[in-house]
Amino acid sequence: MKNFFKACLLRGTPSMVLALGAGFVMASSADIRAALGMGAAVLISMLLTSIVVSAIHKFIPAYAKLPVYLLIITGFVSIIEMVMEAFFPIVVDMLGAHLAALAVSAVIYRDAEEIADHSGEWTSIKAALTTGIFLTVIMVICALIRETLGNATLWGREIAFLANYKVTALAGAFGAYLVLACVLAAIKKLTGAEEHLEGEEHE
Amino acid sequence: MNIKHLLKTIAILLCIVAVFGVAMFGLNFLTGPIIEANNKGAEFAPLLAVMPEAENFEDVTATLAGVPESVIAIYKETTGKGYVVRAKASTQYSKEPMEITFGVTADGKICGIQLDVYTDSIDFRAKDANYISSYVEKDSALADIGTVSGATYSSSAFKTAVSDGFSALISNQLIAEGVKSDAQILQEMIPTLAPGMLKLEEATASGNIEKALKAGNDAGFAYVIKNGEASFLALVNASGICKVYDVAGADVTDAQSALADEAKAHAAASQKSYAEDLNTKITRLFADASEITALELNTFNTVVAGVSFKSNGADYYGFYSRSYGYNQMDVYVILDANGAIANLDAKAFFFDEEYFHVDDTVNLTDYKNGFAGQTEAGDNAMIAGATMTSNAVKQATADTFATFNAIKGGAQ
Amino acid sequence: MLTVEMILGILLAGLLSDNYALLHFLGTGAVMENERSTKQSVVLGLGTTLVMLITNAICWPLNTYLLEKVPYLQTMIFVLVVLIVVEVLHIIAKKVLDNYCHADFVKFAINGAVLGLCIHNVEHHLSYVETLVTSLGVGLGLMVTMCVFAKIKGEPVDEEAIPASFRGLPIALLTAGMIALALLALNF
Repeated sequence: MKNFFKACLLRGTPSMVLALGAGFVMASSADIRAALGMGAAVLISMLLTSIVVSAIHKFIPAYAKLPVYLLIITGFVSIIEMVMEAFFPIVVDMLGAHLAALAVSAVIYRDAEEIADHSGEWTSIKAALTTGIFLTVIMVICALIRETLGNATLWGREIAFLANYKVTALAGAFGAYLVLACVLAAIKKLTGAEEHLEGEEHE
Repeated sequence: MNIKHLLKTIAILLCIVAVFGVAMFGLNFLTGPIIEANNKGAEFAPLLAVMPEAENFEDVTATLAGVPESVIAIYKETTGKGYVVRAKASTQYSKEPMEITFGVTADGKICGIQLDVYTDSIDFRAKDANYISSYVEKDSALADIGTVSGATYSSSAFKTAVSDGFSALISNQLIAEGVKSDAQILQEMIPTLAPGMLKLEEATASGNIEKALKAGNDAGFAYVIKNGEASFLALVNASGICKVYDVAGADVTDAQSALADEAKAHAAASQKSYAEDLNTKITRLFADASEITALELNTFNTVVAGVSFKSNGADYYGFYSRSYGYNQMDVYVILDANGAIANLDAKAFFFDEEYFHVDDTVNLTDYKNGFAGQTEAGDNAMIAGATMTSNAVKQATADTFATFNAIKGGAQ
Repeated sequence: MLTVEMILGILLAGLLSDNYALLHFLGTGAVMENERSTKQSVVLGLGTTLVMLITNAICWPLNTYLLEKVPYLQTMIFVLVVLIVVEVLHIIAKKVLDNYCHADFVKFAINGAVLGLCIHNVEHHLSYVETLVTSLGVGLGLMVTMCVFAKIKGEPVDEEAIPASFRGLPIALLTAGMIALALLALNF
């Protein structure tokens, strides 16, 4: 696990990826079901987009790349949304517009444009998988903290002994920022990746 | 990017939309029915919560006539178990209208009720945890359902919404109207006949008295009292004057004097007297007050004691009103022989407890002096930001004038 | 009918208590990554507001009259509209104010806030006028938030004062969280 995080952090994407994806990461970290649902949606849409983009990028003229890639992402996101609405309606309810907003998320677009557009299928699939799993893990960790401590529930079920000690602020918007910041700091500390990251930030 | 590029891009984009559109069109055959079923389930979930034994619902709102605006929708249980009403209500304290769902069985009784949306600043559920559940098993008469003190506006809006739901069901002949008992009709008359009896609390009944209610502000007692089969409403004010009304609201005190005596005896046993309090206050305000004589009050408002006295050779009348503002108020109003205010004071004005802490800005001496010479309740009592307290002061002066006029009228 | 107070209320809500980037997490990434100057942020923000207004003006009738039968195409069509609007605006903007808008504008203007707003307006069944006013408020809110972040990023920070693991993104998140906390207070 430590190596995985380190690999993710060192690959150069996560700081950037997390800043760009901070919106949906925080929006879906209030409930573990939402976090897993969003994680799955990100992972699958990234994967499918990577495959399609690396297959067709040669045929798309440079000036049309941005809109075309974005629309491809949208298509996959819409399909995922339809499937989720049918089989996990609760998750779709919780995520609301954020699931659809994934379509224009800079994270997936960046993945498509910078990696899938320039390298072969395998590299891009690998990149999509790492980024997707990394984001999912971050969301799940945040959700675990926020749902249990902020709402005294886990997977929607009440945790009796915590019910009187809810930290409601954690369940709200501020809690999202606070928990994500702490989780990121903790991961940095644990993996000892901070020097490299700082180097990148100043680039 | 130039126009030509733009058009080309749009063409590619449309192609992509077409490809995905076809894919989604196909997928919709699989997911569409499931999503529809899910949505239906979600729509019916709150309905099932108030009518758990129901099998299926059908929205019949559009087929009904004269549905009040507060009723959002009426669903029919398809196997004939009854109806579920969704209604909304709002008060000046509502951020958003509250939304209520309740089920009514085929015989017209509430089988379940719940509050789906509630954003009022005062939560009546916190003040009375059993208020909502007290509606269960009630029919459209809503017998024994009052309001929650401290959250009167919100709880009465809730009650009105439920009544509206019932009236829509009744006017469309879906259920039979609930019959109000005589006792309920009589009790509903109290606020009109004895508006000064505030915060009624139940007291121990005895003899022919079926139900005894004591005014929380000590303005008197209200009784539902029986003579044989017939029920009457007996009202006893703070001076022990009793009036008896029948179910039609007619004054039958003379015909039912035995009931009046029984009511008076019950009231006398626990009526608190404010005469001494008033006398002390008068001697403090008018050092030379003499010939202080208690007056018999024949009104049923917030005035709980009254006296006449002489000071400096002139006649004066002193009244003690217990109106209710932010808290219980104790207001003293002294009138001269012509019925104009000579002096007004209160034990405490509670201004500092109102929401906006106006005690810093209101000069109490000026406020009190502002009433001098007044002969009818006016708006100089009103202070912005302390509406509840100043309303109570206004009420006290209005009641004092009414009582004074009644006494004067009686004396002439 | 909308009164002046209601319009002001919607605008203020978009600006403060319903701030999309900070409280609804729509467009957060785009705003937090903002490293442009305040001046550029204003231009970009106003541009995005314009995009929001136009896309909503187009999406509302599309959704009301065309998409009722095919709700699953909603996201797709909305994104298509956003893309076309942004591209067209970009062509116009390039001619008018070339200094501020590079390819940058296209990338920024297509963010979660624009799409999220279209979906929000449609889901809440707002009227046409309400939709437009809300778009204006949310757009201006996005612009203000961008300027705030541009200003914060422009200030010299004593890196030594921040614990090593919190440097970079975590501290930026905490800063945003504190601004969000202040805005949250306006919701009561």
